[in-house]
Amino acid sequence: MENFLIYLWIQLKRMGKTFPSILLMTLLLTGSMVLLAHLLLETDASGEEKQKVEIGLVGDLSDSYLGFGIYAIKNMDSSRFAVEFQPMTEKEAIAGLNAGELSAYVSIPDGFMDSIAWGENKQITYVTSSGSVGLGTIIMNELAETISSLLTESQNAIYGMRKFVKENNMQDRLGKATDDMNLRYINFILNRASLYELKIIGVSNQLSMMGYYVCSIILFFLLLWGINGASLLIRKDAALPRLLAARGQGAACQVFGEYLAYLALMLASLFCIAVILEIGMKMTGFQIPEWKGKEGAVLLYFIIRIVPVAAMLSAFQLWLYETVSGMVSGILLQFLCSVCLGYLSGCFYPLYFFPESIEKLAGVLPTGVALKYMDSCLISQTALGKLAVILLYLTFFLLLAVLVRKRKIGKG
Amino acid sequence: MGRMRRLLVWYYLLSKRLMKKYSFFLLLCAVPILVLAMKTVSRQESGMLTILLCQEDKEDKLSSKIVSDLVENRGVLRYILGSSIEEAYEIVREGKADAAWIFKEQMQDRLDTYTADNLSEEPLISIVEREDNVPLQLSREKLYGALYSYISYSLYQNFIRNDLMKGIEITEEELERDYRATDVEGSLFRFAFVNPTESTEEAEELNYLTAPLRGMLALIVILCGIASTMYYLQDEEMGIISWLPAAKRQLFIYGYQVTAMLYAGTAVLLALYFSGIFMTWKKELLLMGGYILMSAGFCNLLRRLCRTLKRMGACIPFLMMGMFVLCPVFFAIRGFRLIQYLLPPFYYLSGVHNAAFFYGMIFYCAAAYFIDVLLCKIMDR
Amino acid sequence: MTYCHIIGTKMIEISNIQKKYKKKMVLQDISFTIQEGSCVGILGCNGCGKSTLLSILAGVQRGDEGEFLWQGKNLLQDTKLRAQLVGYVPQGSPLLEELTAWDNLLLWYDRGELKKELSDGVLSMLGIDEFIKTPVRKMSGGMKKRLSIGCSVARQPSVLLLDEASAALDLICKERIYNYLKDFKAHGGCILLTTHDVQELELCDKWYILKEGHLMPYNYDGNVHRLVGIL
Repeated sequence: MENFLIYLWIQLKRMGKTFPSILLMTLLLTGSMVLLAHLLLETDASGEEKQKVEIGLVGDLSDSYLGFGIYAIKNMDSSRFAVEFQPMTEKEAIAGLNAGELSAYVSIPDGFMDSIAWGENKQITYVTSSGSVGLGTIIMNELAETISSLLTESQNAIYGMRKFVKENNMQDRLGKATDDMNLRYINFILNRASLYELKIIGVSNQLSMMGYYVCSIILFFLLLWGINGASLLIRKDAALPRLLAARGQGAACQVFGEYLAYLALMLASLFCIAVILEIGMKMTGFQIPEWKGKEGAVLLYFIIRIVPVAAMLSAFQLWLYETVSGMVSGILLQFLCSVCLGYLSGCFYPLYFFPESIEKLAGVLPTGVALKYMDSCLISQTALGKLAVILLYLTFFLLLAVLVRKRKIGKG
Repeated sequence: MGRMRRLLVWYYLLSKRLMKKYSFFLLLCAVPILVLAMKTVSRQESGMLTILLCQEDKEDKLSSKIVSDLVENRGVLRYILGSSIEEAYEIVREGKADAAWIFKEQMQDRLDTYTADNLSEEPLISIVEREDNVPLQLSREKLYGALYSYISYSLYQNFIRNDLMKGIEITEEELERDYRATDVEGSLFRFAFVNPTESTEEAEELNYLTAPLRGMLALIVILCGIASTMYYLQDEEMGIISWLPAAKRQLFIYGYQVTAMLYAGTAVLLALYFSGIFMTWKKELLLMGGYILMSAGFCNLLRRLCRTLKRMGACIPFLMMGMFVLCPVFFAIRGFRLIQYLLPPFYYLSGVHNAAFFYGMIFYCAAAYFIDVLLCKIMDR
Repeated sequence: MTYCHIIGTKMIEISNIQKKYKKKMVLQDISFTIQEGSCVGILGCNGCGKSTLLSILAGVQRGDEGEFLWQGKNLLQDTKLRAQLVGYVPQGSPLLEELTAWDNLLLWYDRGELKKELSDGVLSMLGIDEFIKTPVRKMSGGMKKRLSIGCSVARQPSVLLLDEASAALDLICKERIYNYLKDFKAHGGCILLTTHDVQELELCDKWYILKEGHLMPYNYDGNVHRLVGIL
């Protein structure tokens, strides 16, 4: 026991010496995570606080109907909180796209309104510069279908009405009827929210979207943090473990001592970051629904509750490093595992984006269980079952690490 | 000729050695695995949101038709069917669905009242959510799109019966005949990209799950470049390249990096080809070639800044995170343009549909190599 | 077996080599000569700069000043000629671990040349043919060192720079290497080596001690205790 405590103390000293540089790397990593969080949470924000999508309007906008339509969208439609339309020339639009000031621009062809009037619809071109056709474009595809449907159905109605009027020899009323019908359709479209009643039942004992993002980002942070352990845990040869084993410190003792020291390092970095973020949150007034109305250091309290997750992940990282002998291999393996597990557990896309099979897989992965546990902690639910699974995984990874160490000691 | 042969022998042996490094091989294997996994997953039923559809009266024809229309044209939404209002509330409360759309009974009558009374206060649908957010707002637009053909016809009917031909008997057949007479079809929008090339002007048909595929593969390529630079630093520490004169080392480093990324790039091109998001060979090869050279320059500058293997390894997490976020992998963000211009994947992904970025690549390569030569002269003094 | 590219070389002259690391002068005014067919040994305690001197002469590092002259030509500036004339065996194992001995040798030899040397040339003398297909990571220290020497003499250099060639090797390996070095010397080659090994000292014709950045000639007479006292 005494030998173990001495070894643990040495490991703590050793890891403690690297703490300043690791803290610096942790701060940099936290910076990129905060940026990711900011972008994710901002795209999810609704209402006035959301950053608007800027779309340029190019082409002949002189038609009065078109002008009215644009005015209505800009000032009356509910989409005005999300989208800002700006008339401009094509040259300005291209420059704006390339500079990243515009998300896209819409090019209205000449004679567009006339073509609408005659039922031979010219197409509006939606131009984007997105290098990778991403979620934004896919969503735009869906919305464009809806907008098309609105316009074409309205056209069917207006042309139908006009045909009806002509067939019933009421041409003198055609102009007024067309205007009345147009206005009625525009009115219904702008007030489409009255079609349904919206009931927000509140998140109550479920996780909010923001809460989900907070948990998934913290989990991914813990996964990536493990790369800091490469220089500390990777051994090129087994000379020292063999010497320790010869002196009575077996593989289990060695692994456990290193693990505790590594975990202490991880928790120390985590708590330092949590303190900084807590202060930042108080200064900026950032809150998630789960923390509304709660006093005190909510983030720190949450971090304390997720210590078992940190413990499990550090055991996982220790085992991974135990299996490699080269620094580069270790770093790459750690990074690949972090990204794969993070992706499959819902750190990039929320889990509900995926098919059921992936959701089931996430349920058995250590990171999937960890995320579910963190979700429960955030909404102050007991999750003893998930905690038990986490502790099981922790034990399993430590056992694996011990086995690998034993094999290394016994080899050669 | 002898010199060329020697170069080829060196290239062959370095490549052989690279392939025998398990970590590099694992990285290369990640390419086809990623593509296969994403394609398999994308074929299964999934959705960005799960919406529960429920009818107060299952016999109601209109609500049944609307539900059927929604399920047939689901797009990025996943629909599940609920049997009762209580069940709908329960499922939303438990988080198993993001929202429930409850279609009220006597939908047709309600719709006619809605359109006749000029926005009556009797809603047609109850929408139940735990919290409102942008994706759910967008889903409601989809709902409206699905309802609109019925709303439009009802409005048209009401207008003609109650305003235009008040008091005069009109048959349903007449109304429907005239409404369907024009039957304007087709999408009003076409998608295009700024500075389109000869190969494509239209946005491809994409699934949201496979949308970030090209971006993730591009990041694997640059990760291979960073890995090869780390192998070089490792070799330098071990003294393996101590035989090389200082003057030849620069060429050797580029060789290391380009070799590794050529393998990765080839694997990525093949993966793109089989994944269905391939453009033309000419364009893909040009882009990938430019990207590899840019990435080599980037990795080299990184090596100059970090100098040691440990420092470079420590940079990987926030570098890759930065690229995930700032480059158009999952979504294209505005702002941070100056930082985006420093990242090779930004040029590659933006250059897919915007030829201007290819020239940016050339400029980047030239600038990177120039800075590297300058730093080489300063640091080796 | 021909070792020297250029026959008739009288002497290699190293003059005024200087190297400074931060504020510390590691090498100060290092000058000496190596005659054709002779071996010069450099001794010194750990960290005195022996490896630095050899790596400067090999062109791996840049010295602050100095010349490495052969027939009036400064090999520190003429990198092509230096690559032709100088073979360098650094400390450690500068081999590609993932590849076999054959592949590592292919980096430096042409295929035909390699086969010839393996059958009855330098490589066979070093015993490399016995483990030609073995991956480097599975080789013992002695095998690696022999392979390193084999790689360094690929272009039949006239000058061999060896940095602790026989460190941590078994007697048989050492014997093979010394036999080869004797043969190299006998054919007119010049050897400059750094060593802590007594047997290697006896291989040398001239000795120098590197101490506090200065090179001092030393006449080794087999008395190790006297040598230790000076170091």
